[in-house]
Amino acid sequence: MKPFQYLSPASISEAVSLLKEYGQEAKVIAGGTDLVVQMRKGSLSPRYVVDINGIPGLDTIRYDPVRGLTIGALTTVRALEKSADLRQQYPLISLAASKLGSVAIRNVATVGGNLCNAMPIADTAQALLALSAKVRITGPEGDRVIPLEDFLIGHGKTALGTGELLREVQVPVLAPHTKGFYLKQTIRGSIDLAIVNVAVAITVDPGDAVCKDIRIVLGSVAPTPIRARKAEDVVRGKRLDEDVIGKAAQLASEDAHPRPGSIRASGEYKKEMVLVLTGQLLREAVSSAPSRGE
Amino acid sequence: MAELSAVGKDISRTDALEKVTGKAKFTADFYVSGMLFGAIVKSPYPHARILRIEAEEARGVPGVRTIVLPEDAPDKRFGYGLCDMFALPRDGIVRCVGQPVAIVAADTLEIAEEAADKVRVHCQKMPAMFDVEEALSEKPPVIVHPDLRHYTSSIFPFSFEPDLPNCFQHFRIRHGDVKKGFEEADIIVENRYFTARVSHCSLEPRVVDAWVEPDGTLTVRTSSQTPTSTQMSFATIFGVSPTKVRILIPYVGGGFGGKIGNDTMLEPLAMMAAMKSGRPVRLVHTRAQEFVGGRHRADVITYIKDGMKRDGTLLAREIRAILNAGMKGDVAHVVARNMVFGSVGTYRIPNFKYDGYGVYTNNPPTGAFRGFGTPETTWAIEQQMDLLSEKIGMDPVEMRRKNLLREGDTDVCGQAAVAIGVGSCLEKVSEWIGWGKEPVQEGGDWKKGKGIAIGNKYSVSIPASATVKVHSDGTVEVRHGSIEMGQGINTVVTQIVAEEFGIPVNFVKIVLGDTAVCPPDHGPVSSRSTFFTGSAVRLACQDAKARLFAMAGRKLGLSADQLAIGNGQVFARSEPGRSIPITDFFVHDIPLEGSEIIGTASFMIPTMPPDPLTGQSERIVAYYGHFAHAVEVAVNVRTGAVKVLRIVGAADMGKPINPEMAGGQMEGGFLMGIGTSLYEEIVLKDGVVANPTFVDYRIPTTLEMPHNDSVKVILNPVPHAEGPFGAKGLGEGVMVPIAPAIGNAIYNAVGARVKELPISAESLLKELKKIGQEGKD
Amino acid sequence: MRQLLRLRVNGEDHEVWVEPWKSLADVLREDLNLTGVKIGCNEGQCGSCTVLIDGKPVKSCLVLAPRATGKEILTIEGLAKDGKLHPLQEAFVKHFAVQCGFCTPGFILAAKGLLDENPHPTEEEVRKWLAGNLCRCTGYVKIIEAVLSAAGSRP
Repeated sequence: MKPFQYLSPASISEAVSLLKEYGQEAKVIAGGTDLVVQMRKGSLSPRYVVDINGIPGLDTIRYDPVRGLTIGALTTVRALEKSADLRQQYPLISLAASKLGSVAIRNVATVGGNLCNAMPIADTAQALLALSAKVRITGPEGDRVIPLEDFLIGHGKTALGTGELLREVQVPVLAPHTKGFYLKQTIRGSIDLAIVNVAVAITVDPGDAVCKDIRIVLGSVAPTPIRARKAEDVVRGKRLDEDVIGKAAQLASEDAHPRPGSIRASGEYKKEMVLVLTGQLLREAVSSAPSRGE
Repeated sequence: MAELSAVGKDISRTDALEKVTGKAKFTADFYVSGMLFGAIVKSPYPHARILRIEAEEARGVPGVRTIVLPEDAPDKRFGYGLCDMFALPRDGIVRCVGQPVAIVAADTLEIAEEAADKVRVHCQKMPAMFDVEEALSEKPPVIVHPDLRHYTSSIFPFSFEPDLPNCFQHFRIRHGDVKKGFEEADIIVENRYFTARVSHCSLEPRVVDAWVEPDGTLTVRTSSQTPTSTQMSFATIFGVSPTKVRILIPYVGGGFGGKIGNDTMLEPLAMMAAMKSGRPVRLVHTRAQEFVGGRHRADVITYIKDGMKRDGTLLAREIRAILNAGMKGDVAHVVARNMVFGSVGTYRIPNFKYDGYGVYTNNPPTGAFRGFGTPETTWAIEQQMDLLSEKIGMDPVEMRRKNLLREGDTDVCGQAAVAIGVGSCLEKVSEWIGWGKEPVQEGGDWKKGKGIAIGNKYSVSIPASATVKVHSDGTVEVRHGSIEMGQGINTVVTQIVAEEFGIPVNFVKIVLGDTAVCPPDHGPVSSRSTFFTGSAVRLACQDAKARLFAMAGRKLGLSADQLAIGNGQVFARSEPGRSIPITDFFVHDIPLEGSEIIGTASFMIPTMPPDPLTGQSERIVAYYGHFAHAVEVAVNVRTGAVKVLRIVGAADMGKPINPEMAGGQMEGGFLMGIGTSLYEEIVLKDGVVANPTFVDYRIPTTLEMPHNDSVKVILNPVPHAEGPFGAKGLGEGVMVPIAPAIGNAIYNAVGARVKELPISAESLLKELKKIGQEGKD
Repeated sequence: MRQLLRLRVNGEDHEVWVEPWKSLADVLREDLNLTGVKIGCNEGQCGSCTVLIDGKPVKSCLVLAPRATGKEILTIEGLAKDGKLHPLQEAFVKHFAVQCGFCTPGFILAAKGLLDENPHPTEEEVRKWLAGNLCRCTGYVKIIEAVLSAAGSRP
């Protein structure tokens, strides 16, 4: 690893001013599980490493039935996995979190780090996008809140400008009868990076079993996680029968545009797995127990 | 025979306490005062001529102490088998991406790496060739080693094939007349099989500390399997007497064949840097470097044609096996020869023709990997056996039984089959897996199936030796030349010594891993530690006992055969009360009769080199171990994913000295077999390893092994007269039949067969689609 | 530029000056001579470097040294108390769960993290928890047996 200067700001404003001063030469470290690996490989060699773990107040999960969920950027993935609030109110997030790596990694990795690393297979990103999450960014010009979809702009790229820091994730209160489902296709067990992963958040009216709303998020089939909008359109407003599910799975597969060959799987196989996983998730949605206002 | 007290018992590993407390030291855990850290400058090209190397900028980095260039390397080609490499490219040619070109030694690793980046190697690129069949042709586009005809071999005579300029090994077996055999056959099955390049992934990366002692002794501490051959290799490379070389090997964190000889080049490189700088130098492989320079298992293409009578009798088998060695012959020279034995040790085949080729390409080097070519060959053979049996509607187990070598039969190499226990291994695994009973299908996307395969693993004959010393307190000190890499040799040796002397196991002290003190031994390769080192130890014990009996005999007026030893006493067999305590042979710890009470012995099985044209010999190998595996798998017809649900392996490995330890090795071998069947592959793109990381080279985790109650080890000993207490070995054989058992089970489940390892989900799904068996939405 | 690191390791306080690019694994091995912490891959995949930080299993090769300041760290060397082995250590010996031994400290500490949180795990829970620790020698069978035995779930 190339030598660097290690900085530990004690407040957000201090962090922001360091990031502004050093710009491209600085990298933020939270859990470090991605950054340290990249620095050791030599794919990143920042001259300044800004450790934000000393900044208070960034590692809490707050739920409020009116304002929804706020997750501090330094919340560990393990905390997401185990949070009683999340398991109760947003189980999709704790499910996705539980699939990230191994427990030793989850003890240290943070949701902020997972999002800022901006890999198209990031487990937490899939779940949060499915739940219409937003992110709150603090920078030299102050705070701004943008949809997570607008934050993840490319493979390894976020919308953070110079001096900006991701400080929290916000998830709105879910519409009644909304459930989330997540599947990760891997070669070994879930400690692997995914070949593809799919998250679904679906709101179904218990009365007429019609799908009121659905968001399907596909991972690892584009430079960022993407919405399978064509698939969503064919499901929204309909009952989930085999015909609809089959069409949606097919369209989700068409929505996917992976690179032709990656080391993990060919593009063709990935598209096929999107079809399989989407179908499985929608069938799971049909067969799962009635929601309790999740 | 009297009941044994230590051998055959589940004695706790003698090193377990050290290892569970973190006290056990591996090479990187030692600190050498004044140590420098080395970094290797590597070739970025698969094939190039070095024009010049500019090291001035690198030398200028503060903290850099020395830079070793090709001109500093000894002008001597060396190798474990074929001697085809210089330590650094003195011939000015680099032949693979990652080949070491120079070494930088500096005060810290970071400085060494920074300086290594600054060394400029100017090259003229040359055309490179990666495809092994292209390389094997008579007019290949690239000749990797133009001087091949002048090379020598340190193990077998080397013969050059003028028609095949990239072929450094061509092993032949000719037995009977295959042409006639195929003419008489009712059924012929012919196929091409492939096994991918895989990496050992020992958890301990290779590391070497090298220094020159004040008296000039070249000293190395290294994570290696082979103390003696490393020592001899150094003597050759550096032109010194072996007594001026000392190899130290502490605990090794896994070898699996990857740490043999100077395979990895790290030892000579570190030593050159130590010699030039006058300081100790440490060279460590990063995990990425392990995946590139770690001497993988070469990929092998096997063309096989079988002819069979309608009643299931094998009549003829013809095999053409091509091993893609990469840019070095070295150990691959031996693998390309020995991979044949997988097709020799198990079946009775009246007409057999074999051609095995070791071929150069511009890929990173390959070497020994658990199984040494036998799993690659068995992958082909054991699927053929299932395909053949399907043609005549015969049960695959029955088909195998019918064609097994029986005790005393001559195999296709001309050797007599001895202690061949594979038949009963086959029975036992069939029974456990419930052969003949359909697995309970659960419906949905997962389809279950069962598969069986058998195989063998030879052990070569290389001598071992041991020295044993009796101390005044009744303890016995053993010096042997093997090393402990997890296989448990120290525990086995302890048990043998405890048995021979009738003492508790904690009265045995082992000294190993130091060529200055320990006798020569080839080390734990070829599943030989128990058979060879164990035998040498046993014989050395008997030699020491003979001395004790002679001394006691003089005092008691009895001859040696009237005496026995146990519990710290030498006593008369017929009158145990007439005894002399061991302590009585000493005064103040000095032996009464002057010299130390020592026994030494070596153990060797004489073999005969095979005929170069026919491969025939009355004894080529020391022994064959025999193995049978059965698995139950589940295949997902939508994704192609395969899960191994149940696995059983039966080993005819002679008498197990420590059954629990043997079982542990088998379980580990099961999983390495599963890994190399389903998940593992070194992906090469134009000679560059594309997945040099545990993220993308996936070895099995706890999630890939079936549940404990679905894993069964069966030790099925058929004692071998020449092994210590009847023991043979099993370290490699446990892996041999697993891949084809899985391949056969998948076929049983879904009717699709992938002929190339690894069986990835994607490749299996493709096969399912071809036969219209993939699940549909 | 070295920084002062204050750590509590195996119940003892230490002050070490370290370069910030060193990992916690490096510091434990090189500065505190706790070579029971092993480095198998240095990329957080193999788990040989697992230690407990504030009671939780963490891959120490991924922790930059300054991050460990003020933390309570347990390595394999700190597990036995007054010469008495921890039940996990005893179980690993008794159940032949050790072969080459390189992965062993990491497994034992990871397992301790599990049993401290979940004293009676099922086999499935043990497998999932230990999926981040790699072993090439044992096939995991006896390791899992040993952990279940230490938990009192098996003799």
